[in-house]
Amino acid sequence: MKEKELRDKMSGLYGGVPADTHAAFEHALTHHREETTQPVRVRKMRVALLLVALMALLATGAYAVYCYRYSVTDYRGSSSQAFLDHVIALDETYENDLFNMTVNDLVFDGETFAVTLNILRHSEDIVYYLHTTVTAVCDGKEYRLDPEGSRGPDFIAGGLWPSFGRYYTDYLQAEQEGFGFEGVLWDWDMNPPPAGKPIDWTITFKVFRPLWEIVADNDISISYEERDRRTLEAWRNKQILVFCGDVNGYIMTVNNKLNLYEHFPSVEEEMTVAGAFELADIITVCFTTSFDDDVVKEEMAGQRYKIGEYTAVIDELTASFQRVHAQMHLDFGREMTREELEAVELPPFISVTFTGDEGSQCTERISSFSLRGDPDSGEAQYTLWFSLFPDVGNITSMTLQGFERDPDTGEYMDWEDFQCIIDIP
Amino acid sequence: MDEQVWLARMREAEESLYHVACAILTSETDRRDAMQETALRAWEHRRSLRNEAYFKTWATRIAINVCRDIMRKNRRVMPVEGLPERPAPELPSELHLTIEGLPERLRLPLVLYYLEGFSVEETARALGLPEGTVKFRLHQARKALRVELDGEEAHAV
Repeated sequence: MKEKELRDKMSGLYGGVPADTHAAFEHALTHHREETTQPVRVRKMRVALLLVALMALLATGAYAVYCYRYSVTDYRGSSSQAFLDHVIALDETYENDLFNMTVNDLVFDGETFAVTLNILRHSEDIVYYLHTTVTAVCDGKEYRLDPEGSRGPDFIAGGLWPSFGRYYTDYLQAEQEGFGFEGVLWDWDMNPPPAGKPIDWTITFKVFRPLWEIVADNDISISYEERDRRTLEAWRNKQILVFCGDVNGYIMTVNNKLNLYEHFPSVEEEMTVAGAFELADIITVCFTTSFDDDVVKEEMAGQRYKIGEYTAVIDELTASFQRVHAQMHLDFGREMTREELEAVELPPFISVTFTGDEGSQCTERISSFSLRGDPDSGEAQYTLWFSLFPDVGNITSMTLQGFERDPDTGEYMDWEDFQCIIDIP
Repeated sequence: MDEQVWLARMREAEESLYHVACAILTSETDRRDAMQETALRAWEHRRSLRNEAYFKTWATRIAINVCRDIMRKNRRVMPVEGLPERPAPELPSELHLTIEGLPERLRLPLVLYYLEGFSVEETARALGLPEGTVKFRLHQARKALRVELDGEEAHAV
């Protein structure tokens, strides 16, 4: 498919604005809030009081040195034995003149990776910029972590800690509790590493120290032209402008202005060329994992299960102790016209109950099969897709149950015949 | 900005802002809340918008921040009450499954660039990301959708 076709096909992706939503939007356009400055003044007062308290603590030398060792079990909220068995403790400790860092533990299921750490600044007035990359080599081939989420500093794009955004004081507690990030490991073609082979990992933290005063600007309503003007003015005044918690915009704008490089600059070049930051430290964490094949993939493809009057066919199923990713479609046993397909009655929702080898169960509720076009054949079919994190250990089965909600009572009502049980080897 | 002009521009942007909410939030209730809050915040900060040419990206940025605020408050496991209350619209939706399955970091640039017609620069500004990051995420999204670059656009992204 070409891009033009993609644009054409996306033109109706989400449809029009529903009537209720339109009415609510229209009402908000013409009925404005009053006294909007009050909450801001209260928030600023709270920030001021908190900073005074922290400064008092600093003055007494009582800056907190204790922080809870944050584990991937906390990050995931997982406690199954299978998950615990795959947690790899690293407990690597590093110290520089900015902070103490402990890389605590990680979990990897062959595709999805999560790692947790504690970073505690030596004092409350220290600010640092952290850039993180995760690479791996397996069987002579390089893979990169495609980040999907994080807790704490911006491990995905790189960022300051504290962030100086509107709610940055909320992060102060998180610093005591711990940080983490996760993602999917794959190569440029989005393939995970082959199972059963050792993987050599490298996590690289590049730490930069700001050399200039940091100025926070949280006005989200200004134009980009004005934002650029303020950014360059700050740079000329030897200030670092953090706009709504984002310093990367400042770095990009200044670099574009300087326009020094014909090549794609490295992180070090980007961060230091304007004079606002200096490289303070590079922390490299290296380790090796060997991974057993806990992930069910190709062997389930094509498996068929009766569900209601129809047959559910598995297109893809990935099930580990950490995550389940599944895609399936309905087979009606014959060719159907588009009109016939649109007339098919299906339950609006599906509950998926996961059973693990430790005897526990977990149920998630998702949207039901919906009519999609097959990318290859162009034919329409009913497809179900989900990616979930059930905490039941190694999954032995999934039960799909169709249901609806009574519009008057709100009660859940199962479609009794619309059920199937999928055993996972 | 004159109030009537502001109202007209917000009404013009309504569907675009709704699409942004759809790309981030799955619950129609949350999308409705997001649209309301976006309208309220945009009014509160209307005087700071000096260049009306940037109105749409300015309002989009507000909408994205509002949606993310709402998402942060939501639990990971969505209660049934939060599930979409209307069936997915019929559309040339051979892509809909894959698009909805993309993580937000890929889906949102895809929606802004291909559905709303933002440039790479506008997408980067709306998302607060470097342009290189936006280009890479669009590349990843195209790979997931098995989309080939059009010849005339191959150099633009």
